[in-house]
Amino acid sequence: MANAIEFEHVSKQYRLGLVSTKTLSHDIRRFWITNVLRKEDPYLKIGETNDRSKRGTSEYVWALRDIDFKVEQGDVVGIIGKNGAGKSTLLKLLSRVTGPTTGCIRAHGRIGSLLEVGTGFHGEMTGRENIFLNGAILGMTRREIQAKLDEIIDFSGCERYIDTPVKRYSSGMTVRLGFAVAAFLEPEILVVDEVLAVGDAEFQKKAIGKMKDVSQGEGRTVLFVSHNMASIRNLCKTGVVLEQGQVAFRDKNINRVVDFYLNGNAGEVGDRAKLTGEELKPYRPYKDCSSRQLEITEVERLTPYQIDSTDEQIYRVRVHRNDQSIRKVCLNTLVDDILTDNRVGLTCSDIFDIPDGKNDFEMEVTLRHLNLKHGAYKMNFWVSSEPMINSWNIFDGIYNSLTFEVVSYKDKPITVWPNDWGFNYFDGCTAKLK
Amino acid sequence: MNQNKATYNDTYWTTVISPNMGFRGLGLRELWQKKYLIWLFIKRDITVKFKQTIFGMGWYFISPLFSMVMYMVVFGRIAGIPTDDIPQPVFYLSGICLWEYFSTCLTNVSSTFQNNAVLYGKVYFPRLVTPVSIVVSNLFHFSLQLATFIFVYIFFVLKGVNLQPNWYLLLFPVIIMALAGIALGLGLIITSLTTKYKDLTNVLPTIISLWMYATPIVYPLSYVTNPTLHKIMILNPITSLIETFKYGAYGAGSFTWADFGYSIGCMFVLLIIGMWMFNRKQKYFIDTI
Repeated sequence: MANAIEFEHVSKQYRLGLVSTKTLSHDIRRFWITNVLRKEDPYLKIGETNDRSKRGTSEYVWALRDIDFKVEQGDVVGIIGKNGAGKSTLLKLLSRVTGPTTGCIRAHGRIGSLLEVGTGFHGEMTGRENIFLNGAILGMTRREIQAKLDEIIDFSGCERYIDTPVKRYSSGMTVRLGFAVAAFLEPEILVVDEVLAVGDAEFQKKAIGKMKDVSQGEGRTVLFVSHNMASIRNLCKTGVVLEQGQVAFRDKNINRVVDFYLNGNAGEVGDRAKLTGEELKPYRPYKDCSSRQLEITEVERLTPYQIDSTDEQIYRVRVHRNDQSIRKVCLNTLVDDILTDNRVGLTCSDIFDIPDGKNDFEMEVTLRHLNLKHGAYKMNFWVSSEPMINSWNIFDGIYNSLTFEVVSYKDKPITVWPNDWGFNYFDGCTAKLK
Repeated sequence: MNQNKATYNDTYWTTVISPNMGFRGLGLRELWQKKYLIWLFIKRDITVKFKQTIFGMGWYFISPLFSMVMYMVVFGRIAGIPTDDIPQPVFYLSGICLWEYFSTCLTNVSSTFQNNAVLYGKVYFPRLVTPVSIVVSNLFHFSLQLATFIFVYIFFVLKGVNLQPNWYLLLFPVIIMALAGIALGLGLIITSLTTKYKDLTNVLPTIISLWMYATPIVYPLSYVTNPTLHKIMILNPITSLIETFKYGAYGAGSFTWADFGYSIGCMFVLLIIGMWMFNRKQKYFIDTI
């Protein structure tokens, strides 16, 4: 297959902070050095990788740095990465909304972008007028729009309102109409950014179906950005993981790419089974309000890292008693979805009596029937005097520590809701004091 | 690798996205391909203007009359400025129509980037489409105002006033094109300059209203007797366009081919500089606006 797109050492630099007289002095200096002295731009040499959470010293950051890869014709490429990894910047460059700082992108064929649906809709104009305007803005010719007008109206499901000004539409209808226009765009290269997260369930199904037709049936090249790993796995053939503006991983098999992303996201813990003593320090955030009368000294996973949705899991937590007056303990376990940071479930043990004179003891929790969907999860542990659903009297907490991954559903099919999992009080889990 | 070289030559790639490098043309061909989009923008601008108004287009017929009455009182009656022996309504209206068109175009075009930042941030189309459509859709409003002028003109002809239209009136389309071109070129320069530093946006309204008084709108050019001042007035490219129109429409005012040619020359220079600056800016303005 021939190449449809080539990214050649593409970088994009942004300046942080406000536009002020300081910017003016930088601009004047840049103009002097590049245009009069004919030397290289001094501000291109500085700049830091784009880590949004850390405070940097430079005013310039690289949103993208040295992106270099090729996309074959007919490929459906999933682009994944955390917020701020440069996914949207990459798509913006490709759809020519903004230009690269250095490097070059070459593309074969018309590029159409679905960065946001309903772009350029005007509230005062009717649905029909807006279809023409929006279609033309997105790059369709008059003939193409006229040929597809009926299909577009039909797909949007807004036929009754088509001669009413768009400002009278509900927001859902506006989005439907916008997506309908975009869906009938027929570029050789389609750039899609999270547009499927709109509309009601019925319309989402329609939209995903249409995306599949475009990518699989009609053999067009698609670049697709999403945080929804299920739709990435479902739609894409190959993928790229971006991290801090750089390509961190790339593979012909989308499943390997998603796996890399999910594991990489687990942070430095990865698939380690045990954290002891000093290693636990980073997992106690400063805002933790625990009293440390009891202290967790070790957490360990006794079951494998990759599990089936219905497998049992056993975790062992070692605790040290600092304050002899504490006689009762309860272990609480919370499971978070790594991808969305959503809490998926909580389990609390019974209240145990701590035997006199025994200052180091172990607690073991067995998690059963989690029935979690495919994905990676991280564990939080707390020791408290009462179950945490009753009170917040916490002695010590280890946050976002050990991880595990659900890779299959062996026993019975489980229902994966299109939305994220809600909070869940795990039933049937047990804990014991050793 | 060798096969790569053969397949991926320059004609294979239909889109090449790279940083600004030197002069890359004015983007006129791309603009021409998008004429349908220009037409839709024009249609949008015009239809949206009259939606939910009771008098609709009526306002465009009436509004020059308000300015005309104002000028008759202030400049005609109080200041007592002559009007080349032409009835005051006809004299003022001719200037008002042309100046209105020019200043509206200039104001609208000079905020192209600012007003369309949201749209430009989402999707690419040749950015020149927007300012060009602004200039054309304003022609529609201009034609309504011109109709008011023609109505008043005919009224005075019927009353027996001696107005002498002549062959120079045939230059009218050229005059309008020159006004549109100057407004477009200058507006593009201003909007390009204000993507990062917005200082100029604050002074533009003042500049435009002062500019009107430096143009023979409320007084005839012949009224300026000081030779130095007269020369400076001629340097204003709008002056000779207004004077030419007045000369052609009712035989008063001054016309020389040299002055007229100078205005046309200014238009081309401003247009080329404006489009060049606009095309240079369009790629990155979204990062700095």
